[in-house]
Amino acid sequence: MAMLVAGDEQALEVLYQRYARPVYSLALRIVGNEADAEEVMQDVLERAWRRAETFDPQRGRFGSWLLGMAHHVAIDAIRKQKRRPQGIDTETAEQVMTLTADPTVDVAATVIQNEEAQRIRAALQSLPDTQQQAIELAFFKGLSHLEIAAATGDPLGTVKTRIRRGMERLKSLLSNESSGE
Amino acid sequence: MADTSLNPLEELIDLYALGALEPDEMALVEEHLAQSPRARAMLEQSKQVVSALAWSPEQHDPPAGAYERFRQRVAPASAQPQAAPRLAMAPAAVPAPTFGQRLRQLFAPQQRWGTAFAALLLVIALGVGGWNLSLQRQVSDLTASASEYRALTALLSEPATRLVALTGADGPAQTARTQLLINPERHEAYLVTAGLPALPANQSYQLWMIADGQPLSMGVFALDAQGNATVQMANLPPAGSQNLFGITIEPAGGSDQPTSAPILLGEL
Repeated sequence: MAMLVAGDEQALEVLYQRYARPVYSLALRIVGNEADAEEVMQDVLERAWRRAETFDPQRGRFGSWLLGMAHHVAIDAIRKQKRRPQGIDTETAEQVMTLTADPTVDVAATVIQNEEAQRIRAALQSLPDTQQQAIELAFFKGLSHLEIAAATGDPLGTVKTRIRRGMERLKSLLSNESSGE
Repeated sequence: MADTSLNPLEELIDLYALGALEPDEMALVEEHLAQSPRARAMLEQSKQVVSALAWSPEQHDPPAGAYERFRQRVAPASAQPQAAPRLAMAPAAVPAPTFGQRLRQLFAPQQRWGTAFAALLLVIALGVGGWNLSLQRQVSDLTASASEYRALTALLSEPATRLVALTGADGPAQTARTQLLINPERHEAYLVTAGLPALPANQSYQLWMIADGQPLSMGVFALDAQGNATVQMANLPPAGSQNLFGITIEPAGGSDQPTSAPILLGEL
């Protein structure tokens, strides 16, 4: 019993020490201010703490699951701010994210260490600016390709092509980096 | 020779993985994914990149005090019942209790079961084995009792599930630690207790649910060699406006109605 209590405290600390920083950083990148980013972080870590049973280890690493949840919660938050009608609710987000990490292709699983995060950042930044911008607007701002086209003034087909080419380049870069380890 | 050309829907898979499609396009892609193994394989690759993107932002430390706020946020709410009222008792049936030994291992009685259970699951998730062998053994036990584990997980996942402490102001059960995990909507509950004194052979502990003053026996139960007991209740009666759970000491085999004041009591 006492050990369980001790484990309780220790697991809480492990959870925070390992994941608060990446979750907060991702949330800050998406919502754009510290107060909202911390709220997202607190929300996500609390959900992970209270609902760890919803994590399915067969579907990927815990970090990917947690950051996936953070991404959807943060995107959900900014969509609600904008009253975007097709926003993904956070409950759905949790379910969805159990499906997004795949242990068989382990790109995401190799990026828990900081240097791996830097490599992913470098890969993203190595893309042509227009491709990087299109992917970032989709991922960090939750914009659809229609909204990206409206925001940038580019033709819709151009936006689609930029995203697709950028994603293909990232797949190539990240799989090379993973296989080279 | 493999066909490497993409159909128009496969060209949208990267955008789908990024969440950058409109709803009508999403539906079309999902329809295609359901039919095409190749499309599903493409999607898995795209998802890996999307997952990786989550690690790409510049790293920042959370604001000062965030950890303390997190601790406070997840601190378990104390659910202490009020002082034990006297019971108005009426006859009731005495069903046989069901004991779950695995459940006992999982719910070693303590004050913070909810978070302790979450911690146990989190340990599995985090893979922090090595720092607590006892927890690992319990994880192993959990694996062996997968069905009970799933049942408990399902119960704990329900928003209506609550944890109620049964306490006694004085008497023989003063040091007992007794908790009730209950979901009124599913009419399901688990009682776990430790620290109750052993009874002579001519007496039994009996658990009661008192809905609006009407006691219904939830069964008699015995303690194991360590003084622990677990009682599973699968068919709780409908809850009233006021619902109490109490434990009394009755003649061996139980009573149709309580013959003594409860030694432990908690309010749902």
